[in-house]
Amino acid sequence: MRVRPYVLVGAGAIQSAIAGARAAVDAWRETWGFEDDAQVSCIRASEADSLHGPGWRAWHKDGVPGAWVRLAPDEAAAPGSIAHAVAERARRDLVASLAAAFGARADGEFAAEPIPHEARAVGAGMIVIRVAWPGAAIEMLVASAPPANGPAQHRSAPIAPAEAIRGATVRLSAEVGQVEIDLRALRALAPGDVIRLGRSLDEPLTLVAPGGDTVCHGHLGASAGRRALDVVP
Amino acid sequence: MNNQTNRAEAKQVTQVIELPEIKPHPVPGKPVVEGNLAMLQSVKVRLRAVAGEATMTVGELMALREDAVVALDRALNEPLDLLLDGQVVARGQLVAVGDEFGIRITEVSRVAQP
Repeated sequence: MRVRPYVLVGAGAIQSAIAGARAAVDAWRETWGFEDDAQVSCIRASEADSLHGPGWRAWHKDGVPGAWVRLAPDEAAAPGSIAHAVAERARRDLVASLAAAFGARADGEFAAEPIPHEARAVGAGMIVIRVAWPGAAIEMLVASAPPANGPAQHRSAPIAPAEAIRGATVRLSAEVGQVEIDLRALRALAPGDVIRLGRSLDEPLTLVAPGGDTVCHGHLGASAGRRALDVVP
Repeated sequence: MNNQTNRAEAKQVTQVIELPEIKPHPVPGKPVVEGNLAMLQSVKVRLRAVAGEATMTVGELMALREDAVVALDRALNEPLDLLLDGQVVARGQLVAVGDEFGIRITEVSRVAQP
């Protein structure tokens, strides 16, 4: 049986993805000295028709695809020219910046690879970021929830359930005894009646958890004007 | 022998029983029980007599040691609760009956009386 997390992409996640991509594009633009004419948009992968088109390549790292990228047009300038080399480096740099912004592995190799159906499914949590200029665009398919601090996020180790519920409050009852009677006797009960509770005077009472389990025993006494239990072994 | 008898009986006419459809009556009939619990008179119920309660965190509970004093939320002169299925059905005074704990009823629920 295969199990994968079901992640829905909310409007807030879309907005924060756009903001994250915008920041990556702006940083990249300043590095390369480009004008601010890029349009950044984002849609859910399950709604992205462009994923069915050709030209998608997977960004691999250690054999694991981390993001899919499509460049349009595929060639920015005539191959072999300096303009081509610069444009290619600039594009790669942007792809790496975008991938890093979404916590995807950004230092691997491109490879032609079809986008798996799961990545396009509703609940896959995948989004398509599109950065477009007049005449060119980069699209990237990534997971919508980027780690808060990039790939090297520090997660604290899971804590034991007993530790996790330390702060929860429980209501314990001090039980003197139990008695079984029939409804007839209960309905006939009247003030002045005495019921034996089946516990000897020198026996400790039972401290009972909400579920009915015994927590411990304690002798009934007084403390600061209230009843109290003196816990015994 | 018994087995043969069964077989002999099985050779007699047997029919599948078809149950008639019960249609809901348009007018509700008279109450059958009408708050009268007489037929439940013999039902045994378990009552718990509680001297008080203590609220603490799980952390405090886990730190609880022998000889600790657990204060209850009841003053010394307050009555005990008599609980049926977690609900107070009567209250009373803690007494000694011989060498045994007991409760002398001081208050019962009015509603439950016949």
